[in-house]
Amino acid sequence: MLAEYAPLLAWLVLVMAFVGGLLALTAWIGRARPAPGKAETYECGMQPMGDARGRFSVHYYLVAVLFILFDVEALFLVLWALRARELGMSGLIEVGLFLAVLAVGWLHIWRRGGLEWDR
Amino acid sequence: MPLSYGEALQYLLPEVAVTLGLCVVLCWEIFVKGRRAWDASVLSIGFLAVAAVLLVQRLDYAPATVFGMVTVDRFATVFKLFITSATVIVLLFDLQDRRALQDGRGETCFLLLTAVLGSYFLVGTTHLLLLYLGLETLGLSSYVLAGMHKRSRASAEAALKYVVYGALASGILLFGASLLYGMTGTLDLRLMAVPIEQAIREGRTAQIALPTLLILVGFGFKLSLVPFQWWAPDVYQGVTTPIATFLAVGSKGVAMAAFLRYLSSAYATVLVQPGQEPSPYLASLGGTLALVSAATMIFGNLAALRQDNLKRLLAYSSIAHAGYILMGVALLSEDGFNAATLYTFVYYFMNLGAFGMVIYFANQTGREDIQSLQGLGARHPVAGVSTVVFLASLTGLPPTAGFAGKWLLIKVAWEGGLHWLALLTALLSVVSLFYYFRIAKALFLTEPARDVPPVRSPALSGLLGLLALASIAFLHFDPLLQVAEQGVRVLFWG
Repeated sequence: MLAEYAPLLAWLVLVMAFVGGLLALTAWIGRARPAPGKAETYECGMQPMGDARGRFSVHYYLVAVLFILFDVEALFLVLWALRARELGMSGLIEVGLFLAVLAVGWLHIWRRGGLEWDR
Repeated sequence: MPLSYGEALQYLLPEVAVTLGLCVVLCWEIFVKGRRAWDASVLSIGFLAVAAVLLVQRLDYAPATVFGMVTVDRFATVFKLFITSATVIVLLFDLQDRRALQDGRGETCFLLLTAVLGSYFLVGTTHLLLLYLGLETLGLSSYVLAGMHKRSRASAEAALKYVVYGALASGILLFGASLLYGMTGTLDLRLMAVPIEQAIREGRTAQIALPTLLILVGFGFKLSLVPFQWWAPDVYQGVTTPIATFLAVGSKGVAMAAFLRYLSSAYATVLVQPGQEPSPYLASLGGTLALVSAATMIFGNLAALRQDNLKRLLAYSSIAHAGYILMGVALLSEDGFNAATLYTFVYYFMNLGAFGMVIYFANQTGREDIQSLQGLGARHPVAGVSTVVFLASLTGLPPTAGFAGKWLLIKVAWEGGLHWLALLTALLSVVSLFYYFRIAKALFLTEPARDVPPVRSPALSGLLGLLALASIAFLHFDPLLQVAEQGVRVLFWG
C-alpha cells in the first residue's frame, strides 16, 4: 500500500544525490583563492558600515504591527466593496461593526501613546 | 433548512456579549476618569456572567450550524460554560492576588475576554478555518498575557518561549490542515469523513496519517503532551499565578474539547462502535495516542517528584493529567471520549483549587516554594483543609471526584483493551502520592519556621472551600454528569 509512494522516494533520493554531488564536485574540482575582499559583507556594492547586530528602537516593531493591522483592514474593505450591492444592508452593518471594533483598538493605541514617535 | 439572519444571530448571542464586553473594558480603560483598579475586573465578570446566562439558555437548543461555520450544540455550549466560569474564577483570583499587577489590569481583562471569545469559536466549529482562527485568537492573547509583567525577566522569558513554541506548533497544524484540504477538497471536517473513510478502505492510509500526525502536533502543544511539553513548566513559573491558572485549566480544557471534536468529526464514520474491533488504521492511530499518553504521564509524574516550586510542580502535574485524559481519547470510542470529557471537568475543579491555593499561601509568605508552607495549615484551616482535598483529588484518592474520574478512565481503558495503560495509570498515581503529599506534609506536619501574623482573606478562602466541596461532590451530582454525557453523545450522533 505504500508502494505507490515509491516514485516520491526515488525523487527524494535523486534530489539529495544531485545536491550532494554538486557540493562534492565543487569541493573537489574548484580551487579556493581566499582574498580579504571576498570575506566582506556584500551590501549592494556599498561600503558596509556599523555592526549588523546594532540595536534599534522597539517602537519600530509597534509601528510595523500597526501597519499590518490597518493594511489587513483595507484588504477586508476592498473585498466587501466588490460585493457591496449584493450584500446590502446587513453587509453594511457587518462591515460597520468590524470597523467599530478596530476603532476601539485604534483609540486605545492612541490614548496610550502608541502613535507618538518621539516618546 | 437554513436559518434566517436574525435566528442565526440568536445562536451567537453569547459571543456577541463577550465581544461587547471586551470593547467596553478597553474603552473604560482609556475614557473613564476616576476609575479604580478593579473596575475592569468587575466589568469583565459582569459580561461573562451575562454570557453564562445566555449559554445556559442555549443548552437545550437543537444542534445547528450557523453561518455555515459555527456549530452550536450541547458539546460546544458545555465547554463554553467551562471556559466562561474558569475565566470568572481566574478574574476573582486576580482580584485576590496581593502580588497582582495593578497597572494594566484593564488590558489583562481585555486579553482574557479575547481568549474566551477565541475559545468559543474553537470548541464550536468543525470548519478548519474557524478552528484555526479560534486557536490563534486564544493563542495570541495567551502569549501577550504571559508577557504582561513588563519588568520581570521571568515573564519576558515565559512569553518568548511560549510564542516561539506556539508559532512552530500552529504552523505545523496549519500544514496538516492544508494537506487534509488538498486530499479531501473540503474544509469542513464533517464533509471530510467520507473521503477519509474511502481513503482508509482503499489502503491510502499514508495520505490520512500524515496530516493527522501534523494536526496532533498542534493540539499536543496546547495540551502539553510529550514531546511538546517543554514550554509548560517555564511558562507557568514565569507568569503571574492567575494567568498560569488560565493557561493550565481554561486553555487546556478547550483545546481538549476541540481535539475531541476534530477526531469525532473527521473520523465520524469509522470510530470504534461498542463490541467491535477497530480497523487496522484506527488501531494504529489509537496506539500512537496511547503511546503519547503513556509518555506524557510518565514524564509528568517523574519530573514532578523533584520540584520545589509549587507552580512548577503543578505544571508537571498538569502534564501528567493531560496524559490521563488522553488515555480516554486513545480508545477512539464513545465511552472513551465520555470518560475523557468527564475527567476534563474533574481536572477543572481540582486544578483551579490547587492554583488558588498557591495564590492564597503566596499572599501570606510572598513565596511559592514548598518550604514556605511550613506549618501554615493549622493557622489557615479552611485553605489548609481545602488544599488537602485538592491534593487527594489530584492523586485520585476516594472520596473525591479525582478518584471517580480516574476510576472511570481506567475502567474504560481496561474494557477497551488498553490493559497496560490502565495498569500504568494506577502505578503512576501511587508515584504522584509522593509529590502531592509533600505539600500536605509541609502544611500540617511541620513546625512553623517563624511566627508571621496571618493575612486574612475570607473571600479567597471561601472560594477555595467551595472548589473543595465541588471536588468532592462533582461526580455525585447527576444533572451535571448528564449534561456532559449528552454533550458527548451529540458528537457521535449529531
